[in-house]
Amino acid sequence: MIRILFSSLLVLFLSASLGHAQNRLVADLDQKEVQITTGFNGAELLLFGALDRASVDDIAIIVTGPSKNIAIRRKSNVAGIWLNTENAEVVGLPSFYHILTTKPLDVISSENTLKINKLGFDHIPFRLARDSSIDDAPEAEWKDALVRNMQKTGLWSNRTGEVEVISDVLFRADIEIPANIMPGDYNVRVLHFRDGAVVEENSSTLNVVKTGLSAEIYRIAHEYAAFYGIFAIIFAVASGWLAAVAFRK
Amino acid sequence: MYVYLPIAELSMNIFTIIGLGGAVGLLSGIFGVGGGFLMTPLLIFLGVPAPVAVGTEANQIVASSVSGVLAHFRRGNVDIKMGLVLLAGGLTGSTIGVWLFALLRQLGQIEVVIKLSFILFLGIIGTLMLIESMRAIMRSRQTGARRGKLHQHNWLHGLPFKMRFRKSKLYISALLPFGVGAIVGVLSAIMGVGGGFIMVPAMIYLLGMPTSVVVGTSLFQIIFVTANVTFLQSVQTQTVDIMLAGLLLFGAVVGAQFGTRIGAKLKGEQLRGLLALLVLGVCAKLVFDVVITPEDFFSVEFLR
Repeated sequence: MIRILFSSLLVLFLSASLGHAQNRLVADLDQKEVQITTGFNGAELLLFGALDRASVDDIAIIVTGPSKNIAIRRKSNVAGIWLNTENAEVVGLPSFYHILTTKPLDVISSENTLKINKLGFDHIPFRLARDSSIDDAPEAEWKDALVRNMQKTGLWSNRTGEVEVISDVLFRADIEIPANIMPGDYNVRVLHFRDGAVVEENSSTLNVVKTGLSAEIYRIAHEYAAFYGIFAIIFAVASGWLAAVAFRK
Repeated sequence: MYVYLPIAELSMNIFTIIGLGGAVGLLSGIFGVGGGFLMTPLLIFLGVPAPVAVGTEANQIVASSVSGVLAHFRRGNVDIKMGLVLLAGGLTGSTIGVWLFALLRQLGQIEVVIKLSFILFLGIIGTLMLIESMRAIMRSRQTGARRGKLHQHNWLHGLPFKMRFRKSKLYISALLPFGVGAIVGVLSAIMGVGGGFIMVPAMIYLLGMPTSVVVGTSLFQIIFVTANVTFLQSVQTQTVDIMLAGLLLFGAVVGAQFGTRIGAKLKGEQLRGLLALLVLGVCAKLVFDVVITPEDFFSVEFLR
């Protein structure tokens, strides 16, 4: 209900503003913050925007999350058992990378433009930490493995045709936020392509925050680890004792 | 209804967790076992990261051992002196175990070590239990079962530091219970189990303790060893999920109450046979996990 109201308000606002400034790209999210609460199981955000000739031109939406180091491990068979035998540590990778487009990326623009705008899995910088040991497989195989496995987690995705164009000027897209999302500042970029070139760009921030009981537990477990450990023991002893007393016949 | 587990960092159905706690609690009530050796692998099957499953389960076992030991204390079935010697070993072993755990985690090998440890011990225990229960079933059909020797002397009795354990009616080297405690302590840290399923047979067959005090004494020392594991894992690896532990515990407490009532009405041998099959089933699933060619040779993990 709120969403419908929001959309219709936006439509009114956008159609009014479009009258004045031609080609202007306007876009916004229906919420600026995602809260990882105790009952959190993923979320869906609505991105809504407008530009004239939306149906003719192309739109790409890129959502990126805080940068992290990721370990890629490779298994091989040792005496019948599959063990992690090789490791690579990739530094400074986006923990979240969702691309939504009107058409496939290679149709929208040239390789070079995509590279400059860091669009697509191929253009995510792949920098290995020094202590990585990748002897048996070529680097490209490790990079493919990274992209494949990150897509499996739902944190990376590239979806074509997910930006829906309505009556030539409006566009909308649903951004799926999976339950395993990391807290931090997320960047939402909307790129407007015309004839393969970026004409306009709109950028906004999305905050993902942990709140509530789960967030507190996580914080205490990491910041006051010894206290947390002692509390966990007291909690267990007390509930064990309570259970015994409650059910004593 | 979903609950976001703060340390496991995943969202899980609350009823799945309570149900799992209840099912394992039911089994532990029926069979009089701790249940950690089933709970940890089942949590892993449900997608909880293996290190979190282990750390959390240690925390839960503290609670279930506390409620279990109280009844044994009331009946005077705890050999405290023996328990303290076992405990000295247990604390040493579990401290080494947590250190080993942190090292293996850093090397990216902890998952497979946890699984292999479970395969080894579930395999052995499951097979022994199955054989034992089948024998018992056969024996109950025959008449005039024989009794073996109660106590045998071997080289273990020649070890130094002899100590008298009045309650257990034993005069043995303190190194024996210390060693048993230490080995079980290491396993407790790495596998997230109380270790009763290894300790109890070791106490009966290796130390020669009377069966009446075995369970109470092992529970007594398990409390402190798992508390030690809970504390050290919290500090060193941050893998204790208090919310997951609490929900599992809630299910387990209720399940165990029903289990005890059911267990009292059912026939022992057949039940033990069933438990043995269950243990072997979990073991088989784990074997399958590490032996079958993985769909993807690669895996990814966020580093802190």
